[in-house]
Amino acid sequence: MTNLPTLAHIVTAATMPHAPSFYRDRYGMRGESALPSIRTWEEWHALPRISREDLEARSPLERIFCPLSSVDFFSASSGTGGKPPLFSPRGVVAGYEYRAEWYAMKGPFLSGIHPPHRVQFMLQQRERPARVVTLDPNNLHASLRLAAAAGVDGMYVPVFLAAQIAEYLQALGASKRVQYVELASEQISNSLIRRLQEIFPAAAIYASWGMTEVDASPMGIPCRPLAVNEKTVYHLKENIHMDIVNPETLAPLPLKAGSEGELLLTSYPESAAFPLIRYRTGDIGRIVETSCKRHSQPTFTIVGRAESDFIKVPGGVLRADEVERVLTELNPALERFELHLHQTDTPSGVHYRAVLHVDAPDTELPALARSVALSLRIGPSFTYADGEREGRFEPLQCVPLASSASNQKNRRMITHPIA
Amino acid sequence: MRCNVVPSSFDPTDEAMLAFPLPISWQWSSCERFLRERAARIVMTRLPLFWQLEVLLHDVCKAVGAPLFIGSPQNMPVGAAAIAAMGIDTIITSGEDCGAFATHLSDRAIPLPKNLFIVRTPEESWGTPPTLSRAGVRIHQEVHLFPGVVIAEQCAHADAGVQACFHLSDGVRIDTRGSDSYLTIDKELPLPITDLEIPFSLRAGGTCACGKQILEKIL
Repeated sequence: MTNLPTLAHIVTAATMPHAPSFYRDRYGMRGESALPSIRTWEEWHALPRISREDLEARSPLERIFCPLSSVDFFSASSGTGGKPPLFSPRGVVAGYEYRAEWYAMKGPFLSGIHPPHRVQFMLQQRERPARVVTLDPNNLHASLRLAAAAGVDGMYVPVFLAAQIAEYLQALGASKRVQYVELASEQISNSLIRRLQEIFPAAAIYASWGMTEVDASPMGIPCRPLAVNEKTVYHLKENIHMDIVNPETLAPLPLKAGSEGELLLTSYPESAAFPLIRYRTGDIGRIVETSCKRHSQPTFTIVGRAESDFIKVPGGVLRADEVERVLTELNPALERFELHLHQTDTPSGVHYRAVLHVDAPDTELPALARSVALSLRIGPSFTYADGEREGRFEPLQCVPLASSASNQKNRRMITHPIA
Repeated sequence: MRCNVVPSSFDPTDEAMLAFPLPISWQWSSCERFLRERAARIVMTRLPLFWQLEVLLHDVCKAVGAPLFIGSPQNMPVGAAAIAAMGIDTIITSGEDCGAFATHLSDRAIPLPKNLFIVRTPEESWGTPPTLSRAGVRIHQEVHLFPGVVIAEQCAHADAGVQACFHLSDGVRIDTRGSDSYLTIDKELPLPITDLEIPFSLRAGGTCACGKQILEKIL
């Protein structure tokens, strides 16, 4: 964890008069008013948190704390609540150096988490030939044919595409040389780990935890290879500070083994385009160890999402406001609902099934489910029914709201752990 | 020679597609020249990712100090939102995408960015789509043999009307024998391109105002 003077320095730098007004406005600083005092941990914990909504409320250009020419790229993440995507300035090109502990980096690398030039940078820094093959999710087979021809021996890919990528590389006879597989965030099922171990016999499989809006992403780097029936545990990357808070009261929790709550991040790499200070990730984490055997550092795992109006799914986002739009367009009386996303581990990967608990007496529920699936947008031009057709999702079901088992007040979007 | 690879075809469904090796040191100098001349501020690429040009383009953007945004040709709404949110002034796009994306922007009253850089395949039409010809918008087109291997560039000096004027790129030669044209690239490539028969004829069509020969494509 970061020491207090360093955190105080970050706050000071982010609120200087010449800096963009983002943090001064957030902290209610007016004119010549004094900088927030950060001399004690209590003062640090009292500092306002920032949320994704705070970021969305400002243009990405107002969130640049360096010259525009020092911004390396802009990332985009799916919009929530019907809003446009969140565009984030990113200044950090480095960030994959941790791989050197696990991976010799001798062959070309398949980059499925963009931008690929960050992989090129890492290879150049380590004086390796900078050979990168970019994975194109929209042209998966074409890019994997190139990856096979190039002879990739490592990859960083999204969980929801991992099985498909592995199976296609195997079909091309290119799976046995793979030594390093890193999966990006999300829940990873036992069956996927088994499948990847089978297809990539020479590889160790790892996971990292990242977010597109965080400059130094991934923030959680692997402590150890993934193993069946074991937790996915991460170390926090250098230059990132983590607080853990009660997700309902937002009261700080001690950083000790077993503490579980929403993770707040403070990310302050030197080349960051935007200093992220006490950012609500929406992810619920648990401290696993205060000192791991291999690195003598704290480890944590991600156990789920804090209360949220959206659920990430392969190909996009299920949003509460979108469900509400579809239901009320079908029948203006259909206002109350809960959407439960169930995940089932299968040999071919995780299967997703949305069950919509809806207050709709006298309604033919299977027909309602069909109508909802056809209209419910997951992405700008992708509906739940499209996902059903592609085999990503099982058919959407509607059941009476009274039979909902969540008992969670005010929660409309509920993700169930992988069964 | 240790290499990166690009596809030998622009079409992801082409079963005959092979991996074409490019030296790790390969640079996209025509793109850098355009971004410099136009003082590009923020660049968006809409090229298909499987063309493997992101790393080359990022090198160019880094050299000119312009941040890069990676758009997807399959997702026009995000591309439009990016232009509106960040004031992106330069788009790197393909011949297939440019017209449709310009229409998408126009339908939403989002002005077309001032710089358009269009990568064309040898087979497609090299003309400028009339929908793109607007006051204040500068269009540069070039023809790639494979993604990243430039064989012809639109003349910066000629009038960029519907009939764009192209010149052969430096280090590229065309030999015409009968009605057939053969291409040679005099650059150090792991797999040299010498006397490659191309599926159409190219011929010199007079002299441009800049003094170079105009390239004419005959189908």
